[in-house]
Amino acid sequence: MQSELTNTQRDIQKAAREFAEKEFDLDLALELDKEARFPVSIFEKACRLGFVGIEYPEEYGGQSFGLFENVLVTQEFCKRDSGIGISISLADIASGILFRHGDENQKKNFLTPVIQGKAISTVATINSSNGSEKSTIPSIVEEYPDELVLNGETPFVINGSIASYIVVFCKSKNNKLISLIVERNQEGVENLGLQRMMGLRMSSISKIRFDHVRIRKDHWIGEESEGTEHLRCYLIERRIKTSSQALGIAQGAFDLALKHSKQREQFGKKICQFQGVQFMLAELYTLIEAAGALVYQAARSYDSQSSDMEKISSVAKLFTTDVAVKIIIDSIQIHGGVGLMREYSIERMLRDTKTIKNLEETILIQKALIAGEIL
Amino acid sequence: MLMNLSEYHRSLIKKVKDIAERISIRNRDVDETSEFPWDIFQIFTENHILDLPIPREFGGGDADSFTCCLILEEIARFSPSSAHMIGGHWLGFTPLKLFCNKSQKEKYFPRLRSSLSAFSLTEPSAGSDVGGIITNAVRKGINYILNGTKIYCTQGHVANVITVFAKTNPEMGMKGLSTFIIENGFPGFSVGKIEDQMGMRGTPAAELILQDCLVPVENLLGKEGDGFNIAMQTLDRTRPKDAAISVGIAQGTLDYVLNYGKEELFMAEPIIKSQAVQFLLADMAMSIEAARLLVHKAAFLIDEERVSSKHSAMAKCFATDMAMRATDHAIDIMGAAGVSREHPIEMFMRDAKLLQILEGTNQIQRLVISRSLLS
Repeated sequence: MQSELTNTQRDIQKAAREFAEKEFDLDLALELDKEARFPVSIFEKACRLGFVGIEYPEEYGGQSFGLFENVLVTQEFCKRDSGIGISISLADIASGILFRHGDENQKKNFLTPVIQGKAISTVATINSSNGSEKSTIPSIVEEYPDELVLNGETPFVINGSIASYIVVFCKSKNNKLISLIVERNQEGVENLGLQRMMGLRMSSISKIRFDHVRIRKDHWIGEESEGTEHLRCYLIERRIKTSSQALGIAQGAFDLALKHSKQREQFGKKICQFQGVQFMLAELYTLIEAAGALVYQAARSYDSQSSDMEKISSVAKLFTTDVAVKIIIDSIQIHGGVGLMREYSIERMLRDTKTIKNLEETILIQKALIAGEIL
Repeated sequence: MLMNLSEYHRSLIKKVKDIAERISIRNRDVDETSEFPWDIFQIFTENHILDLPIPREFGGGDADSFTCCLILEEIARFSPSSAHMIGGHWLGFTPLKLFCNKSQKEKYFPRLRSSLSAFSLTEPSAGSDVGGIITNAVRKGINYILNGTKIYCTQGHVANVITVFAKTNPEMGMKGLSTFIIENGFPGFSVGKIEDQMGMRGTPAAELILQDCLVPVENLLGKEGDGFNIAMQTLDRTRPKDAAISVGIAQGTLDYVLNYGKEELFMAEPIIKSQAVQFLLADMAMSIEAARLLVHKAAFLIDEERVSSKHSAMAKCFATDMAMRATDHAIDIMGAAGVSREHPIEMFMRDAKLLQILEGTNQIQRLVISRSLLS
């Protein structure tokens, strides 16, 4: 996974690794997970150092790199700590939509503050975890030339309790998908409370209700007909970022298992000297290499906007999240009893990975998308 | 082997099912707080579930291994952690049932109808390798004096009677291991750290501290040096019980997903109409049935006095791996709901992970199986 990186990319990777090792306090992570709190000060510091929004142009506060560099940073962050790593990676979840489709004012007012660490964003989208049409999507109930009125409810909104604005995908009166910026403190925006999840607890997954929220024209993103395209691009980006999170966590779990196997002695030997453990490690290592190659390829496809980016993003998410769960389950197994204890971060890695794997589009959806592409 | 359940078994299962459904409303609370559910313990005691394997002459239910496995599966379908409480009690009781002399039976069997027992083998340096036990017992007059620290003793903090393994002759390795019946009120006995564990949170593992712990000579189980044999004889008889709990977890998961899948949609159809999901469910049902039969066979051999280490290990390894896979796939079918704590499946998955590790990791089970193949 290393050989193909440029010197600059290696520098970014190294800087991200050093930052995570220095700043991500594992005791704090345990507490944040338990209390469902976001790592505010670590996020702010990561923003100051340019890790967050690294893929956006300097004029908006970014570093003018690509999604590939974001993947490198996310991987290193999540390798060190799943909860802190993912929650920082998710804090700017709406940025891509604003950057790709927003106007200059929207970028200045909403994208830049997040890159600077002054705000956290979120996206309320169709709860498409299983392509379920039963789940509701907010809709426009009144339309005026300068104002739209939004009604509805969205479950499982990442950062729901901490975001200062929400990019909402909703249905227009013509039944088209549109995206809008809704500010969190606007009248009619109500947080219906934290949804307790298996993992991802630092990202305050919440249910949000929109009750006759009035949205001015300067908060509409693009044209009415463009929403579907906004969502398509958003999901491609999300799949690649989720893959990079899963990849990083899997590496982190594997590193812990490898270390443990070299330290733990039973029957007068290090457990890594037993072939049963060696072959498990060999298999996990192989899966990590394969997943890494896929994620990097997907990120490069995105950066070059290649025609296969949609398919490869699904392939990467399907494979990486699936093998990451396996890698973590087996890494816990290599640890034995200690791997089950909450004070040791590996059980949290399983909870977090299982959650990112399923919160948005599931592997069933990915398979359906891939099948559609290849047939 | 019993392919048809008797009327006795059917009515017992029905009774247990009613109880298990009733106590399952406490699942979430117990999972959140990790406090030992004394109310559930009380229900098990009053309904004569706790005392099932205790011989009739001491007021118990005189149930065989097969019956015990049926009961554990039924409880685990609804509340794995509660099944683990019963399983832990029966694990503590098994060495007593096998090796107590007449006066030990008279002293301890009646009380274990309504108070908990536990089994304590593991130490920091002795997990898979029982030979690594450091805790020692030195005879002094009418007492043994025990010193050492035991870890990961399931419900050791609430058990009244604990079978503890210690070395009476450290130079003799495994042959120097002996077993003691320790009451929680013995001088020098105390409970140390109670683990904050990933799953089975109602029945946490505890650290037991033995500091010049005074154990009367009459509380030696069997003879000095019998310890290793007692441990192995016990585990051969209790591993099918962990397997039965795993079968229950997987069955409960399948039941839940089937029910859930009728309501929820995937690609605009009820989830269970999707062939991809149907195939997953078919795999789940097949492997549950296979695991259940293996459990029944291992239990049958025990009840026929033809105990087979190989079959007990196969049942434990196969069923626990199977339960892990079943819960993992069930979450992937359910998507976001699968990782939400509003549904029980994410908890079942965490519960299942413990079973792959406790009472001999599944690597040790494979060792037991391959040894018996090669011998």
